[in-house]
Amino acid sequence: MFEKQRNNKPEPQVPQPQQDNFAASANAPASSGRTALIGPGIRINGDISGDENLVVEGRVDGKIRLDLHHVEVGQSGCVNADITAKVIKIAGEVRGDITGTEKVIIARSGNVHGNIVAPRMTLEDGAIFKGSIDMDPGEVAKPKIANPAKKPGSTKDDKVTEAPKAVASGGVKENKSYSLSGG
Amino acid sequence: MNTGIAGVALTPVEPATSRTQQSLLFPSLVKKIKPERRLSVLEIGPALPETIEFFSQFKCRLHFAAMYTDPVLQMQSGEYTEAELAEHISQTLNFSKDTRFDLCLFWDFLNYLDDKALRAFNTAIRPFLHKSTRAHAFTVRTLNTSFSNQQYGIAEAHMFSIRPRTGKQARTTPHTQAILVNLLSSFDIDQGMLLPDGRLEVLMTASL
Repeated sequence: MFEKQRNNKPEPQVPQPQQDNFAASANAPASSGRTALIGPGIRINGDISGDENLVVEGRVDGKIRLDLHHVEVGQSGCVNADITAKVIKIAGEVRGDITGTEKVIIARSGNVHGNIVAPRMTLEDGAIFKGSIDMDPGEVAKPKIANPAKKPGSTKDDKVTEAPKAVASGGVKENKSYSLSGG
Repeated sequence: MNTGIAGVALTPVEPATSRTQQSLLFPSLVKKIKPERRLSVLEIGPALPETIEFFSQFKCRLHFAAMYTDPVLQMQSGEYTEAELAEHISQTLNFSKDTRFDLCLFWDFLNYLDDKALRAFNTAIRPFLHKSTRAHAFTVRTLNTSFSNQQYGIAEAHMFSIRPRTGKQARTTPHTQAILVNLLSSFDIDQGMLLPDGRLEVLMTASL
């Protein structure tokens, strides 16, 4: 799908969006292989829905709803809208709530302010995000709780590790019985 | 691309200057999480990939408040009243009314708030706690302890990641344990662990 777009000769003045993550997706939408592009000089006020993928390099104020498709907000893209799609990748700026039924990716150049609901979420190093993320790993997994290292001074890879000294502080209250997520 | 146990794609890129810090207290919090229940977490700092990855093993709602860059850190030295600061913090946090956090990650943020601002923070956050809410924070044993301009993430239950924070460091007002429990009256300190640099890692439970 995205390979197809690459093979087309693009307009010279339109920047090509980064498509690595989309191209790598094994579950690309089957109903339409086409991708619509909102160029950097385009501003849309209103809702967007349809049956193909969308790349936003311009500005959108409204709602974007492409439940079975991919939405990418490119580096020059600015979206002030809620977005619902199968896979959402953000390399630009988004103010709004984001629902990815399969995956949401915030690239390192991405700046997102809103709430995200997605079963899978990737935040690349350097990305800016403020808001909440609703995650559900599906089947309940046993939490990964590693025992604290027996050698407090040992390092992990090439990183510097600070080790606490087991010195109890004074005036600490007695340990209570509690559980988390207990409301 | 690597994939975590919850199917969350992991980003292997890490800044070369990131460090890790062991925690002997935090694993006890993680062990208390009931995996079958939805966990509500307040992270007072910025969103970091490793923190998202860590919590992706739980059914949870993670709220990143990014308060280290909030104007309240400058407002507190102005002529704002405690009530005005509390109102500002409430508006910044912008939690829905039914929000109740199970776990609050304060890191060293409380030491960036002076007494008035910390009381205001306490007022602002109190409605969003429940009687079993737990919190993690760094305080100090003595007031001459300094805090570096750094941000924290969770690499593993017993291992925090530490990254240098970009931007100028805000003025710090370290609070000892005794002062902290007075100003942050919504919490009691349960456990403390003195760190080599003079910081005190503490676990707290809501006191409502």
